[in-house]
Amino acid sequence: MSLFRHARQQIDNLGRYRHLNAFVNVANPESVLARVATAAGPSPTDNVDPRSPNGRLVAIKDNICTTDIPTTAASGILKDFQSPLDATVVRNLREAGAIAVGKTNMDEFGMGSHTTHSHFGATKSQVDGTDRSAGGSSGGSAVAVATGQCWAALGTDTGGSVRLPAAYTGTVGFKPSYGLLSRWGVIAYANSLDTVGILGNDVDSVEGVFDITNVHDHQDPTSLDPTTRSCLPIEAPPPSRTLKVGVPMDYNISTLDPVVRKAWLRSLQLLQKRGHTLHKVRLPATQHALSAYYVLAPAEASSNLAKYDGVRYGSRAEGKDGTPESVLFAKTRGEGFGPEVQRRILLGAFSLSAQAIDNYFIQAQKARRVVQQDFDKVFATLNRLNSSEYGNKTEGVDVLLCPTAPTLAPRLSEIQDQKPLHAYMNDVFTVPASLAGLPAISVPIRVDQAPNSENAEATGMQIIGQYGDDKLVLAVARELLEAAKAG
Amino acid sequence: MILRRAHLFSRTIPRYVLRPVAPLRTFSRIAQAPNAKDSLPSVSAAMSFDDIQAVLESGPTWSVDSLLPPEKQAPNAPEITSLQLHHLLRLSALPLPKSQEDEEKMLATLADQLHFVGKIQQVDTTDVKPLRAIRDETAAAEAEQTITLETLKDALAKEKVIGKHYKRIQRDVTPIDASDVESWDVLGSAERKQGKYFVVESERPQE
Repeated sequence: MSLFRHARQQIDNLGRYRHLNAFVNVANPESVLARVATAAGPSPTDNVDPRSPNGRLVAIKDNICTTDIPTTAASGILKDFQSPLDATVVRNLREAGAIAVGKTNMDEFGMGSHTTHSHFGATKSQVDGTDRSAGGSSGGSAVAVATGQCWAALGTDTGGSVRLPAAYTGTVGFKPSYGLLSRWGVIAYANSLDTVGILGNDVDSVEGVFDITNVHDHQDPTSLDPTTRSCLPIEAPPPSRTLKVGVPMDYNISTLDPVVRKAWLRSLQLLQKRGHTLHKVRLPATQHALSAYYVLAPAEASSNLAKYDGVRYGSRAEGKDGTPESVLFAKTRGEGFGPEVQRRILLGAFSLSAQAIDNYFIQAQKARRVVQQDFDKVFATLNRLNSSEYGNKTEGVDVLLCPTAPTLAPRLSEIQDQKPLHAYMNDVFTVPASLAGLPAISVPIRVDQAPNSENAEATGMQIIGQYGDDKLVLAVARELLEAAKAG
Repeated sequence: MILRRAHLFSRTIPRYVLRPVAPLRTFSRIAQAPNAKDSLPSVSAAMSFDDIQAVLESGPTWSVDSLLPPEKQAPNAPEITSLQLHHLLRLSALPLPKSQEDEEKMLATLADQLHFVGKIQQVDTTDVKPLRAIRDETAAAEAEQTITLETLKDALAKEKVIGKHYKRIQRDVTPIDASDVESWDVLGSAERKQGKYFVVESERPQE
């Protein structure tokens, strides 16, 4: 099929799946198609590079700035915000010929695991006729990909926000190593963890977007500098190489759905049949990762979100900004931020307060180091961020394989009355890689279901690599998907 | 290599000093959780699929529910008073609770959250350097990032020293082209403005 016909179909799907609420704002369809026609060139042949973003429709999560479509971060405080600039990752994609089709729904500022905490209403994922959670916070991007409303989508992943939606919607979701993709123009939630991520229906599209956006950006002070980049492997190892696959025992938790465990075993078996070896590994700090994450992310959020007062940009509450009874801008912030955002700001303010900072914030940063050391112990490759000697240890695994989420996508009705704390538990398998800044990808693996089963059909399997081993992680993801397809 | 790193640690990190007064923290009676510092091997030798399957099906290693506060009892978290809550809300520039019920709900949620995150206090972090950001922490990278006289050589070369008795640096008044960063409309996104000013309406605060 030609690029233009693909685009035409995706534009049609925008209308067909409008009820899923995957997008907050969409671009003008005529101008999108006109740009596809220009990018595609005069000969609309079938020979289209599966990795090239040229002439492809890309959906952008709504916390990534675009000049042509508003950027709201799904927040009331930015509901009419029009960015004067494009984020670097958006500029990279536009320069490669991609066309932004729309801005996708999300949990406000990225805070949530189901894309239900949005000023613009929840995003739905429909599998076997029931309304299910799309995962969060990049749920809109995941649904847009899953329902063919775009070729690929950008999301952001702070503690699992790309991988969890990918697992729940049966798509591929990749969180690259922290610092590879520029965060300039990406609305900050927890800056030490925020990573731009990519969603697609296959590894090719994801890798295509990654190759275009994986460049140093001098405007982002956390962008990995060229000297360090030059120490990272550029290519994946040859496919013939036998890999050591680690099976982390600490991901075998009591609430792991038996279906997910089955898919995990199936994936391990598939990789072993391809000649790779399986190794039991221990990552004991996993048990504290979630707690550390929910100290660090809200603390950074309370600081990052302090700037929203409606003065220079954003929406303002009616009437006076400050009265003797209330703090200046409290009214605007109370009306503009949703309840989950306010809860996290408050928790962050607590862990940063003078009486708690040592036992909460600093202790969490130390626990974060322990998580990183845990990973460094099990990987065969040394961590290039803290070891100048590049090379391999004699022991250790090349990648880890574990589930992305403990369960399949829950029904939206099930999570409606949940306590805020319960949603935090969905991140138990994704948060450790975020804390250590490691590359991780979620790929859909199907398990045979009894015909009367209520469960959604695909589970997400996560492949985690050492820092900078992004190409290896992508290669293993591709191999696992191929093996699963072959049976 | 690991040994070398550990050695570096002990040289560069000040030993963790226990504070005389331990402020707000969760006291936990739960036994010391498994820690990264124990000596069991982290990676096993290659195992057959059947063995892996047997291990994974033999039972879970832990329960994530252990992080949740118990249903019936009060959460194991420091008590936050109404006064502290109001202080935190003011620090966050968020509105105060509208009702007593609202306030109780806020306090309960905060207590739950603090129980959940308080688990990090079980981690033994003696001599552990906080991980503040994911960046290149090698000595080579640090040297590259360090600003030295050499880095500033070009800028310093532009300085012109004038004066005989009172030597001083003359300012270079050649205009710098900053059009790429100054060309945007600062007031362009503001909802309320008056001429070239932002408008903020405030009554004199109490404090």
